[in-house]
Amino acid sequence: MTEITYRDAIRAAMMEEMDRDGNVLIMGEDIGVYEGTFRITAGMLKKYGSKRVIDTPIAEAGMAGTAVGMAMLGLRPIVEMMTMNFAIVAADQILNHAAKVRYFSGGQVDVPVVIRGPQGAGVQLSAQHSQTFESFYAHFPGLKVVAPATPADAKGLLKTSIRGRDPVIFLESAALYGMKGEVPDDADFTVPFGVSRVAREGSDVTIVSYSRMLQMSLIAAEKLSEEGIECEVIDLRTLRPLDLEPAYASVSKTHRCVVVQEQWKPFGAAAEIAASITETVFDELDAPVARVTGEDVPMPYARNLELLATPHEQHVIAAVKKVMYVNA
Amino acid sequence: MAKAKEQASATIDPVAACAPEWTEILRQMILIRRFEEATEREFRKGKIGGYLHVYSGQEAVASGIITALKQGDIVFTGYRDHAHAIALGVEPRRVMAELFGKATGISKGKGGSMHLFDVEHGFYGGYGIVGGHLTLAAGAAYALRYRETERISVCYFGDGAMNIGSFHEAMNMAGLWGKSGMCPILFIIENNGYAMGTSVERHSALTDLSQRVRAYNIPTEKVDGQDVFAVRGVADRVVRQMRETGKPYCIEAITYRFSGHGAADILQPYRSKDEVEQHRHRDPIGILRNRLGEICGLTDGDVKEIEDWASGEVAAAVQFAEESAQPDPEELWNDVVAEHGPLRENESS
Amino acid sequence: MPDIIMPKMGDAMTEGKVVRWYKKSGDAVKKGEPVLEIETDKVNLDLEAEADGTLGDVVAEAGQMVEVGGVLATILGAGEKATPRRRDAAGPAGEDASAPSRRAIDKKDSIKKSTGEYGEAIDMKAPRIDRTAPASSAPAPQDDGGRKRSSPLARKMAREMGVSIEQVQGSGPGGRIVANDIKSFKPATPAQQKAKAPSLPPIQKLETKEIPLTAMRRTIAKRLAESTGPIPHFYLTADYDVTNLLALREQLNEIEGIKTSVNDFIVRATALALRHHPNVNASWGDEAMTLHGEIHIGIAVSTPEGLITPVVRNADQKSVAEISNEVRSLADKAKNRKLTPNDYQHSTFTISNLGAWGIEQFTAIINPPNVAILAIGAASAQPVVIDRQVVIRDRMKVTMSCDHRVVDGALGAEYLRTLRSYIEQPMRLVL
Repeated sequence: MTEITYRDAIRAAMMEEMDRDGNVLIMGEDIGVYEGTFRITAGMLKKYGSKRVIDTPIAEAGMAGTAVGMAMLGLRPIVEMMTMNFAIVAADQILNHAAKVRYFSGGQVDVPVVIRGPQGAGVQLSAQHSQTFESFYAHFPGLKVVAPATPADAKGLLKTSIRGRDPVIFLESAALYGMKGEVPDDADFTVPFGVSRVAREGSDVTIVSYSRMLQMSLIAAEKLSEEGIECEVIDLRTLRPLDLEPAYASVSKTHRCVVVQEQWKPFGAAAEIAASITETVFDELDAPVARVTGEDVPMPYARNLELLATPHEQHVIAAVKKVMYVNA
Repeated sequence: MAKAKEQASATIDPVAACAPEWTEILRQMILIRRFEEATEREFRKGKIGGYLHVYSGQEAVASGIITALKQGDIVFTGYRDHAHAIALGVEPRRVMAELFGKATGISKGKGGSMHLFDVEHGFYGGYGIVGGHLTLAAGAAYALRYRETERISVCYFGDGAMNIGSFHEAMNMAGLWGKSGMCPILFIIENNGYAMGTSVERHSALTDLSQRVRAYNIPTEKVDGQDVFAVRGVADRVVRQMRETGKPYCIEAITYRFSGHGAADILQPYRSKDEVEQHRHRDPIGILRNRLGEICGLTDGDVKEIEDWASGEVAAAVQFAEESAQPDPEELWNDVVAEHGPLRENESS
Repeated sequence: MPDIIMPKMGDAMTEGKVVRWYKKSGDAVKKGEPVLEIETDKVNLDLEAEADGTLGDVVAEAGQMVEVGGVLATILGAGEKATPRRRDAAGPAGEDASAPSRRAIDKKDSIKKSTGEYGEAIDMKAPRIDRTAPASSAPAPQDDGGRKRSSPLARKMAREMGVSIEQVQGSGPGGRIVANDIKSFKPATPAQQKAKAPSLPPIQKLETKEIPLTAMRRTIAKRLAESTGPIPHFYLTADYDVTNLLALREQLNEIEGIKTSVNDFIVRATALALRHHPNVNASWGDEAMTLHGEIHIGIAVSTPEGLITPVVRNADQKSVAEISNEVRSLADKAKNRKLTPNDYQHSTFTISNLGAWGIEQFTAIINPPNVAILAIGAASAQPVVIDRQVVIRDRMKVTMSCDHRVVDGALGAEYLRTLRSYIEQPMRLVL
């Protein structure tokens, strides 16, 4: 075990997999000579050369599409999107091609491509640079969608993504890049898809979240503990496949649930999670499932407005108290 | 309609021209034509659903290039893909069954006309998004070179695909990677003059389509797409070169489609019946047949044998498709992903 | 020669209309010559003959709607004769047409048709499961006229605890009953009962009948008797609110000539209650249990010589006043040793009341061949909580001893619950 940052964990995962399998390569804008705008790929061009660490032009559709073609022919390309916001222009290549070629060919090809990049708001990057995409991609069968909340999960899940046979959208939280955590040293340490974990035990309320909001929920849980309310916090880790079994078991114990996501409420991931919980453990609920989400507006620039638009521990605390029928 | 200037003209060597292979190429083109005619009939009967885009009139572009390829080369194209599949050796019955949506179809009935696919014969699809597959073909070319093979990737698309974003991204990346010999991709522009109902003049700021590809540092030459000799001549030369250099190339084939864009394009308001009639005088099958007749002694009897054979093959394909079963309901859930199944919502427990 | 069929001209097209025929049956046609005009949802166009020949049977009339693939006419080659066809066979070749001529093509028709195909595909796959249908078959809680909101958990807890949810006050938003409300709920006192009374089990027809003992019953009886003596006793205590009963008695006693005691009411109440539970109005026998066709209440009376139980016969058919007189007369006779066997035999149920001695609660011993006895304690004023307020009510405890061979816990409890209704809503005794 070593304590490393989320960023270093991602780099380590990629390099270990590139060492392990010569078919793994990475492409992206300014990942080689520039060593990556978030320094994730620092040192990689030097080590692996330009055939395996490809600086691309600014052409996300081209990057995603050529990666699909490479994957169909047996390579394992990783595409670094400088931010996931920029991948919107590649939507056709990802949603109409990567997600579907296996199906409409009757299973004749695998598409083992990993499209990874940072997402999320918080540093005044305004509307086009502050979005999150899990609900966007998780809607589509044929894709896997991963959103790690810790350095260990970032490493383990990325390795699983690279080794897998399917297209993976690997959503990193930019705000968590500097976060430190214990990470196993074992080069074969992987974290499976579709297995949520209990990040914190408690018996009063269940909080379900993922990625950056998971960390924020843990902070809220600490604060609530001081008031005698013990939250059980579930980290989903992957949105597709989605594992809600621990959440169902938890709600059967606590009888109340709060789902926390960073972005807009309408049609977001929390809607899916809340609906599933209501459908499955209806008789256990003492209150409707509450959702804590960002405000339904494009992200504004001004710092105070940006803070207003993003969920805060206070919102989680208020939601917990509401489902407990405790006065705030 | 672009005039056939700058077209490679085939210098016809009587010996080479009469190689048995040419009769086989004629056979292939006639098979394709009969097949496409049959699909149109079956569509009108309601046996084929969705869209149907037939290749009639463009056979030389598929046959001329594909017969120049070797085992291991791979082909990508858009949704006008029946001809390419057949030219690559996919059995007509498997193609027809796919169009009929049967389990015996080449894509298990899950793709349909637009998504024929046969890895075994090097056919990598069959895509429904105009211009969407060019990047895939370029990436595949990179992979072929990454693996240090001499295999090449061939990517067909129409004039209509040259204006969409991913076209430019693919061209640029192919040209860029080609600089280091890492992109042995052969782009084929099937320039039939129309993007569905919009002519090249009306859709392209620069109507010299070859010029547009050269802008990405990819050498391009025009060829008379109705003359399979000419097409094959260019293909042989270019393909050999590409295997050595790993660099991209583009052939703009000037061709024409005799049918509408798709089965629903009946009235064809964008071109006159006369125009279509005129182009029928340059039917690629007729051009090859006449040449073989003049130079190589191909007789009417030979042609009839080929025609009868082709009709028989196609009739058998239709019958096979007719008699095949629909996909098993379980097939709905297969092949979504390789690992982890989909959420199965509505079935009984 | 190939038939002229209705062609599919667009991917969504399911039918088209014959507009008019340019040729008629028997006319010569040339390849490429227009033969008829059709209308589809997008265009009108002419259909051409695919070969030279003669137009044979015209199967679809002008104005007729025909499914895609359906035969419109035949074309006969040289030397071919028309095969007689039914004039109205305009469905797909070989099928009889069943569709009458319809209105102009309507997009909705294609939707209906594709829904039909979808339906077929679904039938092939599996029947649809409605996962939103409730899994539990538990009946909905009783609606008292205004919908009581409650969380699913609260309802589940209420079911499990046997709490009637309409009695619970909700502390959640909109009056929602939540888990906490169920947890802290105390069963209601009679004053909380609504005017609409809880339903009693149905009154059963009284008749004497023998019920042969089952093997199980014999075994239970034997084992119980071995551990507790001949009659295996067990005891149930219930605490009744008698405020209303005492008030009623006061009112009745204001009538001239009427002087009732509380016990008189209890006699009638127990008798009426037995009508709902004939198995309590029974006797144990070696071969069979006997359910009695009449209700005779024995009343324990203390005499200097000891305890005796004169019987009020058919107590269910006598008014409180009649019971009152009869009991008084029997008690006199008992004290004066003037009771006849007829007076004290053949009770089917017995009550014993030590309330006058201030006994709060006691257990009595069953008077064979009865299978139960009810021990009545003193009525007294007690503080109780109603609507979260402390109020004073008159309460009385009764303890029922049961012969477990015939009356088990549930039956005894049910009887006491029925009896409660008669005691706590004493107006029932008037009926």
